[in-house]
Amino acid sequence: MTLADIQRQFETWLVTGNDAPGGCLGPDAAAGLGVYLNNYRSQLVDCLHTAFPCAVQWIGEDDFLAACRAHIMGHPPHHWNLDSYPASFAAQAAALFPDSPVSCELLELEQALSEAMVAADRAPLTRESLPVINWEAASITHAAGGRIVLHRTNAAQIHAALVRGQQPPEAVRQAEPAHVLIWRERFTPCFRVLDADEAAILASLEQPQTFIAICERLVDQLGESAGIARAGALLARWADDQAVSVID
Amino acid sequence: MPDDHLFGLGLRRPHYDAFLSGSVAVDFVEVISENFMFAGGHPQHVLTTVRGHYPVALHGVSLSIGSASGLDADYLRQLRALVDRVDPLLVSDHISWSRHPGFNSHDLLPLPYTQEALTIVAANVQQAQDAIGRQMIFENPSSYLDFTASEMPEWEFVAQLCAQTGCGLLLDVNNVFVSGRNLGFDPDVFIANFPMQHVRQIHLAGHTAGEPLLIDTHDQPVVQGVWDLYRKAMARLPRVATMIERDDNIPELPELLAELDVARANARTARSPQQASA
Repeated sequence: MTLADIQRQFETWLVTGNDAPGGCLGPDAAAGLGVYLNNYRSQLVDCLHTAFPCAVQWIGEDDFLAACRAHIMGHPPHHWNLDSYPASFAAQAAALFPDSPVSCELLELEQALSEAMVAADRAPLTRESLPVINWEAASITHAAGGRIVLHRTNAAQIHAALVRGQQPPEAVRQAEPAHVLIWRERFTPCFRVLDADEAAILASLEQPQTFIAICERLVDQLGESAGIARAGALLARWADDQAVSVID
Repeated sequence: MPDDHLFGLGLRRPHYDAFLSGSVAVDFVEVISENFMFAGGHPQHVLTTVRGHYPVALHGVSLSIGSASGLDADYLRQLRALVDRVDPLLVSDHISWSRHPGFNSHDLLPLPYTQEALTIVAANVQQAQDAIGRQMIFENPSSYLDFTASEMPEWEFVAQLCAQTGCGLLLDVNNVFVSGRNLGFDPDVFIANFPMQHVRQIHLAGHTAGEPLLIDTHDQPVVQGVWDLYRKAMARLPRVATMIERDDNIPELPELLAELDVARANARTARSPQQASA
C-alpha cells in the first residue's frame, strides 16, 4: 500500500466515519482512529461556532450544531487555511436554513465582518485629512474590507442587539431591501445600514471615483444646492466613520 | 544557568497586551504561522509590534510536509512572505500530513515510517526550504496509532530526513511521552536514539489522560515525566530554544513564566548535575 493509498483511506474515514483504514494499521488502531476522527470533526465545529457568535444565538445551539454536522459531512474543507472554512458554511446558508432568511443574512454579515477584520490595510479618510487632500486629483474608494451586502430582513438590527446583549427584535421581512456597508475602522470591523442614494454611490466605489464626480451625480439627482450639500454631508460622515479611503 | 540556551513562550491572545508592551521576560516568542498569514488588520499590527521587542519563531500547522501529492504552492508563497517580513529565529512545522487533493483535515495525521514516505517527505522538505530560502525544522508528532508498514523507528526516519535535506528538528518532549504511552515504546530509548545534533528547538506541554490513550491537548501544566525526559534531552543538546506550548485552558502569564523558570532550572540541572546537587 502506497502513502497515497493510505492518505486516500484516511480522507474517506474522516469525511464519512465509515471504511476505517485497513491493511496498514496494527490490530489496536480503533482507539487511535477515533481520536483523529474526533479531532477532525470537533475542530471544524469549533471553527464554525467561533466564526458566527450571533448566528449561534439566533439559531440556537442545537440547531446550529446540527447544521454544522450536515455541512461538515457534505462540504469537507479543502483549503489550507482553516479560517476560510466558515465562508463555505455561509455560502450554504440558504440550503442549511431554508426557512430562516434572518439566519442566512446573519451568517453573511458575520462572514463579511470576519473578512473585513483581516483585509488589506488602507489609509482611511479622516476629519484631519480632509483639508490636505487635493480633491481635484484624489479618488475615493472603499475603506479596508469595504463591501455592501443586500438585506431583505432586519438581520442588521438583530445582530446589533445580540452584540449588545439585548433582546433582539422580531424577525421582519422588509418591504424594500436594505444596503448594509461593512468596513474596518482601524482594527474593528463595523457596519451600518445605508440610505439609498449613499448606497448607490458607495456601490460604485469598486472603481474609485473623484469627489467631483460624486458631487455631479448628486447635483443631477437633487439639484445644485441640495446636491452639493448632500455630498458635503456624506463626505463628513465618511470621514467621521473612516468608512472610505482616498487614493491620491 | 547556561547562557546559550533560549527560553520562550507562545504568543496567545490572552497575553497580547503584555507581549505588545515588550514587558515579558523571555528570549523569544513563538507564533502560529497561519494566524498571521493575512493581508492586514490587527494580526499584522500584533506581529510587527511583537517582532520589534522579541525574536520570533514561526511554527506552522498547515504545510502538510507528508502529503504524497506534494505541497500547496499558495501556502508556500504565504510562508515565504511571512518569513521575509519577520526574519524569524526559526521556522518549523510537523512531520505529518493534513492535505490530500481536494481535502484538508486541519489535523496532524500520522505517517508510516517507510522508505517511500521518506523519499516523499524529503522531496517536500527540499521544496519548502527552497521556497522560503532557509532551513526549516520539523517536529515529531504525538501519535495515536502506528503502521504495520513502518520499516524503521521514528528517530531513524527523522535522522535520515535531516541527512538528506539539511533540515533541523524540533523535539516535542511531551509528544515523545504521549506517543510512547500510546504506542508502547520506551520514551527513554527514543530520547537516547534521537539525533540531537539536529535539534534546534524544544516544545514542552501538558496532555490529558484519555481512555485508553493520552491526548496531546496542550491544556495542562507539564508533567514530571516530561520534565525527566527534558533533562535527559538537554544533557545532550548544545544551544537550543525551549518553549512551553499552552493552547487551551490558558493561565495567567505569571503562571506560564513560573513554568518557564522550571524549564530553566531543569536545563541547568541537565547541564551541571553536580552543581545542582550541591
